[in-house]
Amino acid sequence: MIFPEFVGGVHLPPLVPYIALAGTIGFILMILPGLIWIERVVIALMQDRSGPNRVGPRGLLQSTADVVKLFFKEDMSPKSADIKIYYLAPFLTVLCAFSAGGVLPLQTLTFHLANGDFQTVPLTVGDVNIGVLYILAVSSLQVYGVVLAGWASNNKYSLLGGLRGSAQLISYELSMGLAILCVVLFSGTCQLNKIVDAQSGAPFGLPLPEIFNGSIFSWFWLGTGIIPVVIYTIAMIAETNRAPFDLPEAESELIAGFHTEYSSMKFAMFFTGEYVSMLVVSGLNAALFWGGPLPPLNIIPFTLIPGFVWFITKVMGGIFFYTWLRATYPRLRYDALMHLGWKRMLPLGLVWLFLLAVVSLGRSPAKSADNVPEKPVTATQQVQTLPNAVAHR
Amino acid sequence: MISGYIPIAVLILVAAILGGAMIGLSFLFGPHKPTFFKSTSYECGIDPVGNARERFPIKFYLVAMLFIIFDIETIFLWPWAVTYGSQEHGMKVFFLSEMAVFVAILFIGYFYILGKGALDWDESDRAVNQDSHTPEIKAKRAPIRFGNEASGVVDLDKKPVGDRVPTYGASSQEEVVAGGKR
Repeated sequence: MIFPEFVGGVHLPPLVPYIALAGTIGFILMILPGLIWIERVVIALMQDRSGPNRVGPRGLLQSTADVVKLFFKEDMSPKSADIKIYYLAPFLTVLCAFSAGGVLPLQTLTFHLANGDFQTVPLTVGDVNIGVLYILAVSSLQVYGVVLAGWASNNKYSLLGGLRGSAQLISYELSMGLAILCVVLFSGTCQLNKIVDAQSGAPFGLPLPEIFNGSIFSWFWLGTGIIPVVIYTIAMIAETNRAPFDLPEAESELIAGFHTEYSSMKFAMFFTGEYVSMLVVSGLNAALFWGGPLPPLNIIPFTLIPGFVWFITKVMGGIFFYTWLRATYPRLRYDALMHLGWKRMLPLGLVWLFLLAVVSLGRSPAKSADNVPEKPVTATQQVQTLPNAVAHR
Repeated sequence: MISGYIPIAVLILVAAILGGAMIGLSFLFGPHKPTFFKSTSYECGIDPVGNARERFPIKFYLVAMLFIIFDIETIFLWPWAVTYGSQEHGMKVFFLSEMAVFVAILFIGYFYILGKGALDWDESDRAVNQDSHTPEIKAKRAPIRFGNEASGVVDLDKKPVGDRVPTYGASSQEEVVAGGKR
């Protein structure tokens, strides 16, 4: 699809990040009740029971009704709680969850400039050259939500849940970082759009037909040797405190873990934060290992579908995987969790990174890498520095 | 250069407004009728015992400390990984050997903390290893000292099994010397 540069006198390319922003926030807010519905229905199907079926057609409005109900629930807080931090914790959770998704590569838009040139602008809120680091940094700030909620509630179960959560989050962050490093090593950049570009070539540089360019075989899940995607997927489930790694909120031992004392919308905010960060880490998974907005095969019916549809499809695949795991596996014991994170995944990730470095010794220097650019090119800047673009305005 | 970050700043602002609105609206809409029992912390329906600001296992602290060390070392890998792919072959060999030295040192530290048992969550990991319970190893172990001001230092190895000694903190509590398993 090619868009004109001006629509009704409005210069479009600089507005693209804000379109992406509105789209992202709107999509997340719209899909959230749907996500909860999907999860409940899928688990119900897997466990051979009905699931939600009262409110709306097939129970579709159940979660919406729950949200409305939660707004009108009594807003109470325990007397012994540290009240400021108690309110800060859910706020931080929502803040970090929503702002982490800002660098995900949704699509690349092509504009037909007034002077006849074509220009591509990534449909990303902020296409910054530290994209991966930004997501890692912001999503790891979520540990503060867990820790502060657990500590401020002044409840023994909350404290235990918060401690467990923080230890789990920081343990798995190491393996997650190492798995992402494997991708960064091959693509030579931290900018997510360039990582997607690096996956758009022929698989393993082999002389294959055009149809395989940027296909499912040239994405990094295969390109980095499957181990990193396995490590990343395990770590992303542990990072979002989902089953089978949901020890911080293990209901059979800790009631509700760190959010035991939270009621009304404050409880729903932890819920929101959890689901939004599920979307974000699935989106990062899609962008790093599953080609982001690239279609699975470079042939005509697939390439006609816009990239953001593919991206959302891949994210939803991740969400389905989460649900599937939740219905399948029992919860890990805590020492087994730490054992897996520190004694299995961390050394495996380090050794694999080193192996990949040895393998890529023979490769010729990468072309598309942004090896320390003097002036990082961003979406809006790209527009301004284009020749003749300004003159025609 | 900074212009690419402006939409992200707007996004963070929007997220903050969303979070604030969620808290604020539920505070506005919801009723406020606190009673004594609603405001106590929840402990499965019984009266809460003591305070939650208790001591917690030092293992959590240890994990956090190890995380800082390993995270800093991982961060050192990031610039290396970004620049590695675009180097010429000779430079790549140099980069790789540098990183081999770094990872080797990292693994020395890793095996050290493994050997120290810092990553064993409880003693069950070690109990599996029968070697740590052979008489030779137990003979080298320093005697287990116990007791407080009231009792003086007690060597548990020399006490008859079943004898009662006051424990460290509370002299009102007593501990039975464990059976022959030691």
